[in-house]
Amino acid sequence: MSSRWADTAEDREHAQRLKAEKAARKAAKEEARRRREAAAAPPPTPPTKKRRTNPSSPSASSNSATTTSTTATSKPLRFPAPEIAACRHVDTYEPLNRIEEGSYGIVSRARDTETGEIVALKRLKLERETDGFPITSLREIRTLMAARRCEGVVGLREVVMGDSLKDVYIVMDFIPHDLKTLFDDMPEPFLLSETKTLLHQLLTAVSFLHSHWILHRDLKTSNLLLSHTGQLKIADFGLARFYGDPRPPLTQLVVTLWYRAPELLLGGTTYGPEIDLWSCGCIFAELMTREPLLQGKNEIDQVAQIFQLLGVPTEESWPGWRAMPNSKGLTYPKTQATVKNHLRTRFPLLTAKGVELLDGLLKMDPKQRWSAEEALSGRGKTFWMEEPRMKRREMLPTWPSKASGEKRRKRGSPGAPVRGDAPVLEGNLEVKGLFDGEEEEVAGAGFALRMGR
Amino acid sequence: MVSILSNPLATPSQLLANQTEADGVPSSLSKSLLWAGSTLIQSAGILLRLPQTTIATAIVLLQRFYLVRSLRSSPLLDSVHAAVFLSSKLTEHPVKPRSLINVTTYLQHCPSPSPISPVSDNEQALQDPDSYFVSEHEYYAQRTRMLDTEAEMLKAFGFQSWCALPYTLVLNYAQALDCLDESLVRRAIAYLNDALMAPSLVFLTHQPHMLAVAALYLAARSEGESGGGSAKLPEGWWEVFDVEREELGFLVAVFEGAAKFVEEQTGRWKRRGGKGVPWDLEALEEELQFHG
Repeated sequence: MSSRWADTAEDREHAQRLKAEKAARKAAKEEARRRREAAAAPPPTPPTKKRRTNPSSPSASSNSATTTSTTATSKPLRFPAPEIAACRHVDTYEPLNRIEEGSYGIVSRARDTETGEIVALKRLKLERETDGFPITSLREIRTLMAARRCEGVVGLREVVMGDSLKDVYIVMDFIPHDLKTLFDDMPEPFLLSETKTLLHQLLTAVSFLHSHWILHRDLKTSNLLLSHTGQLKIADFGLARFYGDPRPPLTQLVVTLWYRAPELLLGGTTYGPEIDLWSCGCIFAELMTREPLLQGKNEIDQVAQIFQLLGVPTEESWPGWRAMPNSKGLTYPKTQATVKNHLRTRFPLLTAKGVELLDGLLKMDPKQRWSAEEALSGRGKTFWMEEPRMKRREMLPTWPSKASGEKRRKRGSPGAPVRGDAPVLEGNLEVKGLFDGEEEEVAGAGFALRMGR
Repeated sequence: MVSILSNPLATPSQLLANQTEADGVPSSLSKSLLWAGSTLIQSAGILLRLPQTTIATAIVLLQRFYLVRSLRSSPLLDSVHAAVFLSSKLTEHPVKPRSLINVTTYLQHCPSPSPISPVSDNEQALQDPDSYFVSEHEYYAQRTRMLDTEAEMLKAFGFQSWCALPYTLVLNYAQALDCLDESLVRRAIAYLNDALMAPSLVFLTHQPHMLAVAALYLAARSEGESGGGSAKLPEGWWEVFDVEREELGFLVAVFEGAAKFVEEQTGRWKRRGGKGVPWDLEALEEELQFHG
């Protein structure tokens, strides 16, 4: 019996065929190269008619031949200009399975029939619209287009339309996980090194958005996607918009309740990028515990929970907070204990630098809150330098993706606010349960057994 | 790609294959109608107290739309409405459909300083508000057509609604050249507004930085002539802003020609008396018969 590795006649024939193919390819390549060279052969150079416009120096101007050649080499910069082209039809994509249904659209997984790539299709709900194409969807498409170059933002591929003018789909890169779903599947929360990787990516992306004058206004874990290679991407720009300087008045009805900054809850309308950083702070805490940090039942309860964790603001810690529209109706106990900040006891395992960063992101006064830049390379820098260092994103664990396959569970997180009038916190509402059970609080550090960091 | 420096541009083949002309509308009429549409947008924008960025965006959107669509299939008035409505949303100064339709009806029927309004031959027309009253029925019909055209518009340019305008660049460049002076900048911005009306569609063929340089060049030149400004710019300064001499020459010619073109067009429609610009399809067909 001959060895299974021995050459058979069939093998030799195959090898010969490969060889012949290779030779043919080589010949074709050579031919193409010759043709290219022939085409590129320098045509007789026409005399340059262009008037010399920038004499480099008075002495050189006498030698006009050399200066002409130098001006000819300075090429003006040209900007890439996309074509004005119509939308393609949604038929280019073959639907696979539904991922999620939100308040302003259905997201499903689909395959590009031309390239075979898997994408996410978001169908905009336009049926109920009476004022033409909704301004929120226009903002979503424009902000996504503006953030295309950022790797921390989900990539917008194109916008396609169905048969009617009410059928509009946004085509985005498909990313298999979102952090919220991931938390439900993970037996253990992320290690500190992994948390750092994710938070660093989040802050980098947020800093990109803010430097391009984009407010996201709905940062939360279910809007943060994670690829198989550990790349975090911000998604769902349904509430995003451009802002400017001076700050335009904006609606206060933005950001999912649990991630909403105190100045929004207290009715501020000239907020800015700080509200996204507050959400980042909440996400930082959630990355460590897998539990949303502040789970208020309603606006007033959310305010109560914030004050309970960070202490009631004073004129020193947040100058002018009493002048906020909604803070007048609030009554709260005035004692020394109520202004205490409980972050340290809530996160006993976090290093001092980590608590400092978290505290910086969760400053109640928006003026004192750290910017993304500050958190990355300013005062927050030491947190990234100390041990444990950030894990490389490729080294993050991987999980099976729910979005690519099975049905998803409904989650019990309140939805993003829909358009309408913002609730006003009026009257003499007492912040109930604010300091109940304070005696039961643990004063010292907690204990948890963890393997690895 | 969204950037303050770059816009989606028309390709040469798109400019050659003008849909309106392919549909049998003479080139001069098609150019004239696009001008009338742009002028209506400009006048309506002023009455609606919209900022010039919103107005300019609307005009560019209208030009982009008719680059790929025909005037004979998409009526001019509905496209004007849609362009203003869309641009007001894009630039965060939303207008109400009712105000918009009221204003354009007023401009079409009542004598006003706008070049597309009829001339006031009798005082009666001025005082007759019935001539520009929009009935509820008419309002809903126009609004429905406007919203449909808006969707058509977004579809026609693949939702690339970004419109980078050269106004702020003029300020930047003037500052960089150390000639930031109110009358100079005013003049440059006026040149840019002229160029919006030019039949060469320079906002579709040139990036904003080139337009800004051309406007600043012309402004500095005419300021120098009138002896007002002391704007003596260094030789070849436009190359610093990535504009070649030939391009600058072309744009300067277009900018300067815009005034004459507008004058011609104003005369063209004013002379016609009561029958103004053919805003809808029916009037356009009539106009074509008259022509052909």
